[in-house]
Amino acid sequence: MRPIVMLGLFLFSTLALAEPKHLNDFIKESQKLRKELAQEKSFSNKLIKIQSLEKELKVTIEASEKAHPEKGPDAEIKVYSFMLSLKPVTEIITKKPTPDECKKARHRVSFEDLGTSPDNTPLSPEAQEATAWIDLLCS
Amino acid sequence: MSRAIYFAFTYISICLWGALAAAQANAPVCLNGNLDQNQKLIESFEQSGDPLVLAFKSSLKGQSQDNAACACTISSPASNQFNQLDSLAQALTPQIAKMNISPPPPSKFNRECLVAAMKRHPGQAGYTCEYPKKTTKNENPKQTTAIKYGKADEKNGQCVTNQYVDYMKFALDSAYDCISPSNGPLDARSLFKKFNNETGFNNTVAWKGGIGLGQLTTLAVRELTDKQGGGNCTDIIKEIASSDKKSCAPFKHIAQKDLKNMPVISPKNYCAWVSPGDGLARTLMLSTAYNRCVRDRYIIPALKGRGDGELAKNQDVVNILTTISYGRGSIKEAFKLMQKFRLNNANDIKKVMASLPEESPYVRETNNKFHEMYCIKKNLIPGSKECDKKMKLTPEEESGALCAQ
Repeated sequence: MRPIVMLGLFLFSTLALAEPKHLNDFIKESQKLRKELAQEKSFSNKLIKIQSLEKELKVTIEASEKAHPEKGPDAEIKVYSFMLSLKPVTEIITKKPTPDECKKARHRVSFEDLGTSPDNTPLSPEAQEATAWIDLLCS
Repeated sequence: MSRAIYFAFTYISICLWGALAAAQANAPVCLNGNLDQNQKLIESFEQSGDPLVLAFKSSLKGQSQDNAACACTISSPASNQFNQLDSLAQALTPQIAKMNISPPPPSKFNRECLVAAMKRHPGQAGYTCEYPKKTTKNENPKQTTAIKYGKADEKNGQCVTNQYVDYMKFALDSAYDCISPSNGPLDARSLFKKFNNETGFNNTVAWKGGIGLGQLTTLAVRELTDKQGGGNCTDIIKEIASSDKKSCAPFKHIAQKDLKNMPVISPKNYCAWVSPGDGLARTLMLSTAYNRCVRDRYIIPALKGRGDGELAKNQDVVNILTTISYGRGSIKEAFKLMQKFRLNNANDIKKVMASLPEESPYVRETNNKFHEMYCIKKNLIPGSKECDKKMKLTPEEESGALCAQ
């Protein structure tokens, strides 16, 4: 009986661990990171955190690509969308940014998210989060 | 005596009939089936002294002179057209008379398709433009007073004449020739389908969802004209501003002006976007440049990043992803679909290409409106059973190849 319970527990824990993080998990994590960094004065410390978040997103996406080589599931594409929103931030802001670089990053996040949507359409949650990171890095 | 009266009566009748026929021949015919009295757009076009309108009239002047030099016999419908051109050439403003005769740009867009597309009713609010009532010392005033005519539907939609269709074709051909790069031409078929989908080539439409022919938005305009604000494609507009190409002449002054001050989309300046002169030139220039911007700065680099570069050379893949980028989900939608379908060289591209239209509501909508245009072209009522059943497009027709080259 005991080995069966042990095996069940093992399988359950393995499956639970294999469950990839969803967009909401990453957004929450990102918000938490930003909150922690609110008083941080060092730019490089802020940059390291957003880069590590981006890396974590990438790892999750790569794992999903391996698990689903033919077609990406919706959960993965949502996480990918967050990575897309963060990409202009880490591409444009690589050192203490100038006001022009901040504007450029802000515009690109908005443009890629809703360049063809009617004016005043709200940004997607992931683009809003990316914009909040720009505010933090440019403050 | 009675015979003389009879001949006189017959002579007068023939003269009157001739005069009536001539008047009918010269009366503007609303090609799009809208009410004859909705003439504001045509009046505004005829009064416009903007460079695009002048360039068109100048090209007619050349055509008219070519026709005058021709000693061949002119058949009846051609004769009417000739008369229209000739009378227009005679009524040229001193400004046009001063201009050199310029040949029309190379033809990319099919006129018959254009007529059918212009019969569609986009349904959003439309505006016509007038010169301000108070005259100023400004020697070159602009049509800045916007007048809402209501919804661009059958009742309120503006009359479109033969000559306005010719003008629209001239404007499209000019913008394409000016902006499409010779080393990687833009896909004219996609452009045709986009304009057909957005407004049915109705340049008077303005609402919160977009403005003018290509339904531009503030973010798209910023991308093209506002480098300080982060625009990534301002160099395309700079290229137009300094171009020596003849086809760029009607757009140059707008490019120069817009690079200095990003044009704002607001009800206060709707005519900067929807007037038949500079308004049409601006929206055409920016919409065509936008296509180039999205394709060259976003889609192609993203495809290159996903494989060994072969995918980025596949025109069909590039074009459909560029079209997807026009939809609500913007460029991100195209990027997400690349990821979803694992778009890399190892994939079965044919299979992916078949799936992409299903995934993008914008592509579906564009294809539906294109089908609608074909029904109109074949005198079938869009949305009718006949249209749905009889009008099965061939792959060539569906691609847009018969409407734009």
